[in-house]
Amino acid sequence: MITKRQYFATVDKGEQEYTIDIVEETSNVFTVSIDGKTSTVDFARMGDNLYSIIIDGRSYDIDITEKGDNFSVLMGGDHFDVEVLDEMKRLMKLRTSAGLEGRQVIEAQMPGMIWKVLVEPEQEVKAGQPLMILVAMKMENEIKAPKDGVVQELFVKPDQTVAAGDKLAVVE
Amino acid sequence: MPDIKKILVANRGEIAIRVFRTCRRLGIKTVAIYTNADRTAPHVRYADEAYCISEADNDTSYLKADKIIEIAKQAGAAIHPGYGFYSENPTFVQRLEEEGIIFIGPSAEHIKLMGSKTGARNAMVEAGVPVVPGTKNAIRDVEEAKKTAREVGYPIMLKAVHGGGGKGMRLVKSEEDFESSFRMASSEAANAFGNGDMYIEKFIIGPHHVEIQVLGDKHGNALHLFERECSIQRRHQKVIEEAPSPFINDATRAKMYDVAVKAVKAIGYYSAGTMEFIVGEDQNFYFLEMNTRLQVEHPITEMITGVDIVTEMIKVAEGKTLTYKQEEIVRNGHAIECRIYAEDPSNNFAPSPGLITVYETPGGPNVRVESGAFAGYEVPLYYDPMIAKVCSFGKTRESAIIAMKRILTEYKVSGIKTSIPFHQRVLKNETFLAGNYDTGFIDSKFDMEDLQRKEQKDPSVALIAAAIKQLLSEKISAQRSVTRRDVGESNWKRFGRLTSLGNRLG
Repeated sequence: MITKRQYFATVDKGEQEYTIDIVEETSNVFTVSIDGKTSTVDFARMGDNLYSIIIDGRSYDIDITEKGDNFSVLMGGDHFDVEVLDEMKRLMKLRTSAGLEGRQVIEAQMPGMIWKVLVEPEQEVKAGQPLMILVAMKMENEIKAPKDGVVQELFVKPDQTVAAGDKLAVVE
Repeated sequence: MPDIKKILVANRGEIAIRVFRTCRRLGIKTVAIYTNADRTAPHVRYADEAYCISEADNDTSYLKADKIIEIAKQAGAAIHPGYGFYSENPTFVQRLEEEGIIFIGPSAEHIKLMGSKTGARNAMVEAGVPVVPGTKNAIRDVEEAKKTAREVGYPIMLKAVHGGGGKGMRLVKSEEDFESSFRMASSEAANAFGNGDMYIEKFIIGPHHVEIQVLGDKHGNALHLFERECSIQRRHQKVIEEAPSPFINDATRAKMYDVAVKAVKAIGYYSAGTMEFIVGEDQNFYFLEMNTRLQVEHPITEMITGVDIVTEMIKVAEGKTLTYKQEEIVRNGHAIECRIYAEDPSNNFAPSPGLITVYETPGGPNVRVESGAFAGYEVPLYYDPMIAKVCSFGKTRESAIIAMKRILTEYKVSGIKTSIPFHQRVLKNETFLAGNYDTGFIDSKFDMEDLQRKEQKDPSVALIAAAIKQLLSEKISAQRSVTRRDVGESNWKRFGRLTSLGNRLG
């Protein structure tokens, strides 16, 4: 059975959208077109995140970290964040992105321990104002307000350990 | 003093393994200590004996002096401190002396003397070593400090008397910033080191951080192992070092070696140590501080001299004389070290602890990798982010850079983010390639945004890779979902679902 899919991708949250068509020829070999330019790709998994990829005879060793539809791709010294959506998800994203205005949920960008919480609920804050300090690997990292607003919710307390992606606060 | 038969390394990670390697070569038994966060760490497996010292997962878990001393006594081992933790703690060394445990390092008095920046400064002035203009003694009062800063002349550097690692340090460019900077630095120092005393130094323009590796023994012998240039620093922490320095000239070099050895002799220092200097654009150099321990960057000195610094430390601790005389030490070639941190350079160097899923180390000629990591290792949240240091060697600086570029391409670490892409950028930077960088390199000569900027790069390979990965992920999740729903369903239903899935994917 030949698998065919079409995706829409952006790189590093850029404005340019690429249309990618993929045909799976065998379990390892794919024909991939990006905006009409077609390549033959041999794609083999080497480890949890490591892939060997041969595009028209050129060999690349790449690292891909997957988080939902977002892929962090590391090739040599170059790092790319690629979002890949199918038609349905692309439409859903266009609809929901308008609804998030105003309310900002701040998430931990890394695992760590909350050392200090510098604000209280209902407190007014300015964009860039430190809300709390997260310590990871002996480094202190300020978590700042993304916009002017009021701290609606605080989800963490000092000495609490958090994982990447955990909700820390809401500024509205 | 008897020969040392067994050594406990009061440390973890790559430096514990580094010391153990020399022990193995010398036929000395080894003892590791570990916390439960490090049960699977390689240093535990590398050692002949291993003892858990702490159940607690925090950054003080390797600071259980009572436990370490108890284990060392039971095992009959001398203690090597590595760097960090107890490596420059005079109280700990004093206790070892009282308990009759050999410490492989300098005396408590030397650590204490050089650990106090004002004490060290005064001792160096007495030994004839040039020091940066500034205050001689600790300043607590902000008004007094402001007056002194005016006398020294702006820009000035505020430094914590008991500081290190960039903590409690502030550059002040004008008097109007002085008061707030002083209060912040002093409070930071009080939090980090339990003492908020500060001192003031003249800020040197276009400064280079050049350090001289020294060795001394208990018989009054002292020698230098040439210099290292450590000016590539982020947040006042070294990230790339090289030996020899591409900046200083031979006349400066000779003067610095001379001063460093004289200073070691003047204070009667023994074991390995490093005299750190700041060198201005005009090649004038000033003493910064002395590190009374084995340093992270010691491998590049070992590469250009062939001297095993840990062996010398052990011999000195046994009361023997140094293996070499100064004239027997020959400098050969050029070596570079990159410190690989578990950090995400594309996200403002955010810490990136977690599970290493792929770990492939570089090989081939002119490579040295010191690491405590492996595939399957969970980089703990609680300790320093350095997971490895990779060193390259070449007959010339150019060949050492070429070797390092290759090494970094071969070095694969997956699952966590590392600073490898950052190092690769530095190695392409024209100022770095010209050897013309100072400690302001990252702020002024290195385009940090280049790590984020992608418009000049062709993203097509990344797009292809991500799209194929997405396709495969969808297929896997579709198969899983069919398998899950299979339970309790009839063959007809299963056939229907498979047909529908086939239509969707086909």
